[in-house]
Amino acid sequence: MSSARKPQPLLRRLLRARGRSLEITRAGWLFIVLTLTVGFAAVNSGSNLLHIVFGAQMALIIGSGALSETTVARARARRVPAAAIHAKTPCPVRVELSNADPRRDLLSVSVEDDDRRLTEDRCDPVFTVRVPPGGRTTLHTTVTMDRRGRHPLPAAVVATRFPFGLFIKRREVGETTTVTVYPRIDAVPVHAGIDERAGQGEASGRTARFGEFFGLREYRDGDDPRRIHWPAVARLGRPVVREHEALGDTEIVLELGAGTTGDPAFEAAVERAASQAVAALHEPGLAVGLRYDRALAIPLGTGAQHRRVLLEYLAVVGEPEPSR
Amino acid sequence: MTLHQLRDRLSVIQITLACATVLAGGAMRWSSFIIASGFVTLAFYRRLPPETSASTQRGWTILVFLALLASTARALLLGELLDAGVDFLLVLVVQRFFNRQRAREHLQLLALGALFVVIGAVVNTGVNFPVLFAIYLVITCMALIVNHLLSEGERLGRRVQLEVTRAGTHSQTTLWRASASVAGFALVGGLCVFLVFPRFGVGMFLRGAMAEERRSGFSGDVELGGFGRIKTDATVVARMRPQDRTGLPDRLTWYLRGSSLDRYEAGRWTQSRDGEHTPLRRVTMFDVLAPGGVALGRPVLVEGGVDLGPIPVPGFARSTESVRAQMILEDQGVDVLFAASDVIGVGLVSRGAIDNRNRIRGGYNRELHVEKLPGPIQYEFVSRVAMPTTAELMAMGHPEVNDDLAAFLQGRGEISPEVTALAQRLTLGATSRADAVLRIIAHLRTFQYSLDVAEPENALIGRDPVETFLFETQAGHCEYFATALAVLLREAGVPTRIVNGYYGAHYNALGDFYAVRQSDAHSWVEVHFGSLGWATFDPTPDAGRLAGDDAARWPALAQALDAVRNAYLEYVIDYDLQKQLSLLKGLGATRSQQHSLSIDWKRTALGGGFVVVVAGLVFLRRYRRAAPSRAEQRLYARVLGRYAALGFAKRPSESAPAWARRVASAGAPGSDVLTKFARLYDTVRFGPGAAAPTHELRGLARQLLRRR
Repeated sequence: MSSARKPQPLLRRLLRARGRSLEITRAGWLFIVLTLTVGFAAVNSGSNLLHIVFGAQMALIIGSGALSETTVARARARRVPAAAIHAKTPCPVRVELSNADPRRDLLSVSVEDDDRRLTEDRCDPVFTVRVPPGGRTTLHTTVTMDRRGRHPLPAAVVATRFPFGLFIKRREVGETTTVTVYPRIDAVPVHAGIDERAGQGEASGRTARFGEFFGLREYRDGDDPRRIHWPAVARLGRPVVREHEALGDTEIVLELGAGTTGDPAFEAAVERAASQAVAALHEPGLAVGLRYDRALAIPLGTGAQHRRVLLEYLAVVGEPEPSR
Repeated sequence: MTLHQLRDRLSVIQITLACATVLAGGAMRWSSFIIASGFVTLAFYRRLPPETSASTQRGWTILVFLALLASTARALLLGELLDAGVDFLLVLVVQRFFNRQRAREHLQLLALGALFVVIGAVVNTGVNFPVLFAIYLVITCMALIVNHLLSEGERLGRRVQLEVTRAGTHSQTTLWRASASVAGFALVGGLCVFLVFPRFGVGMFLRGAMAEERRSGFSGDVELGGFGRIKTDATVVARMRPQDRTGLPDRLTWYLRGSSLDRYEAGRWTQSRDGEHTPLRRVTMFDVLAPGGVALGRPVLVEGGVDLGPIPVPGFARSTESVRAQMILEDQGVDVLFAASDVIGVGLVSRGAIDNRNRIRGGYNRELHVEKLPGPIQYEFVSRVAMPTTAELMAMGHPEVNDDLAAFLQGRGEISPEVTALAQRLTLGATSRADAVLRIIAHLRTFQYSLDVAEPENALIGRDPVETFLFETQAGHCEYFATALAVLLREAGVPTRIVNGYYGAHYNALGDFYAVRQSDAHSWVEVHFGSLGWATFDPTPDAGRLAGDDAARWPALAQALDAVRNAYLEYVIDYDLQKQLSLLKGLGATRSQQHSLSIDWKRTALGGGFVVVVAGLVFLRRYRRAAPSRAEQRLYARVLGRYAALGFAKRPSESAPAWARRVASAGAPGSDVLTKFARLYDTVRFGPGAAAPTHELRGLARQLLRRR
């Protein structure tokens, strides 16, 4: 049996060229039916005024199509994560929408998910009434990713129903940003993890020479010159040194058994570990580490940077090694 | 004004304009329109609930259902299909206005408006239609855009709704500009289809007349009285173009004959069917009145090579003089055609397939009737407008009255002895029939012409209105004068009939045609003179005959409007396949004998080139107006556009160097060149002197634009 694909009609190919699509709304169908009826009445009766009305309606359909085409053609859009993205949680995303035309306004444009792609990831649509010629606008929305890991943001389309809402014209936004989706974080009591404290480490809130960056302070005699923060000295005109937060007095090493991405039990364990890690890191002076498959995967640490390291590890843990 | 308020107002305006097209076409009753307007005003100013309750919705559904039933019954039982349909649409409009919370309801209002416009296009042949339609189109485009924006808010949720309301309210100028552009495009589209779309006029499902409008008494049943309104109405009912205008005055005094009635009874004229039956004889292109001394003879040029004209009548020196004129008659709601008396032949000037279905037929008393579809009708007539002189009429003596003319003596001795006595007294000693006629006319000319004739009280006690006119009021309008002459002559044994039509026309220099106005409506009498046929006599005093001449309040303006209306009828309403072919011929395309299309490429190229040059000039002008005028600005705009496409659009507050710095810090390609370009642009644009190196700027711009 031949596997050759049946060639699509030219009109459909033209309409779908460069990731575009055209859909007729219910109002559009109504308008088309009305236009055809008027056209039939005009041809039937030979009435000149009906010909004018028919022509105007046809021109509105054509003009509507042309305007929506130019609208999507000159719209540029980009989705950028505005904060950390956690699975199954609405997270903020910035949509940068610009008008590539230096002379004409961009009117009534939305950036939506491409609903032709079968994915559980969802991004709420954004809409703007006007982008000035050559200008750019930033819109804010939320994205909900279904799974943790490294994934592209949902495929977006620039869509418009401009000017009359008769047709929906869409064009794919070529550029998709790949993001690291952290596991879902649930609110868990921190005690769940504290039972496993090892009782080693330093007091919380104290500054130290190593650890998470804490802040700057005036240089005092006896300070190690290597701790002088030269850019700040240049800016402030007086000597200042870096301070680092010391590790906590207590420690917790979370345990995560070996598993594979996609396995519901493993996914639940990852979410639990991530939730506990985040909850524990909120506790002052508590250092958190992670042991995966009985081996220390993330050493003890505190602070926002350590939190990110932990979550990034948990985002991809269990994924099969890329084949060479 | 918020976007919601704007949408409400646009909905009201568009539906009003759409209704106006129907109203002006006479297919909507004023009473219906006023009632619907009242309800719409109430709906507009009442506080709109966020949602219509279920019980209210049920109430509206029942109301609409009842209206549908009533309209159906009205259409089926009374035959008022159009009126019932229009009234039902008005009910739907009111219902939608009371429940217009969402975009969907406003869209339905727009659809109802579109239906009204379609009806208007069918019934309204006035010049007001294109004007109303153009305004309607702009308003509707704006209403559609605003409704679309608000529907996006409804679709995408509360956050977008707020953004739409905020941004939309501040961008109304931009939206108006967009809607005007789209409306302009739609109008051009409409014009193109109008010009080039072939007029097939296949005529499926078309049956009979639709609109009926009675303007004046040109039917087969006329009652005395009722001309007052017509005499003060300056509406143009027909436009006439004589083939040869040489020697014709600006105030033409032809008697344009319409209906002719022979039976008089109790103040009412009707047609007896016992009078002169005058069928038409078909000659190429023309229908010719057979009897009455009319035949092919004296050469009068008729299209198609047929010569048509009156044969000489012995004793009537000017009997062979004739005129030929083209007439565009507005739809009067009656089937009578008007042509200068004494008409010889008439031919339709067809405007396409549908007009070809129209048929002219002869009636009684030399009436001309037409079976036609609604709308104006165009035709030509050839007439003998000269009358026998008084001497020629006198020379006829008292012609014999044979039995064929019995119908024209009906009512003799039946009205009252006083009328008979008056007729005998006036005609006593008359040397000829013409003498008798002139004696009675002389008597009637002592009466007063007046449009303010009170309803004759004597009619209640059975007295004939003509008696009241002759013996009591001695004042009336042309119908009274004509009736009195006809009745008195019949009492004297002279065959007469009354004729209703128009007395002449007014030359319109702007449009080069003669306008026949409603105020020219007139009645006169035809008297039989044996072998000379029927002669026209007009007993109405001159002042009365010309009473309608000053009906127009601003004659110059009325003339200009008449000219516009005539041009509109000629070039828009009557635009047909022939005119399309003429247009194509003008553009260089001709149809050969074998029905193949041959194109004069030279002429087509010339015409096409002209259009392209004009379009190019218009585009260039617009482009120049929109584009920066200086070379460096143009280069800067192009570079801005390129980087905006890459996602680095300049912010309104940024200078060129600041923008270039931001782009460079974001790691965009070619940022080093861009930085140089931005600095140089600043120097060229704002630096002192004219020594700035534009060519260097151009080189940098080229490098930036060439990058992928």
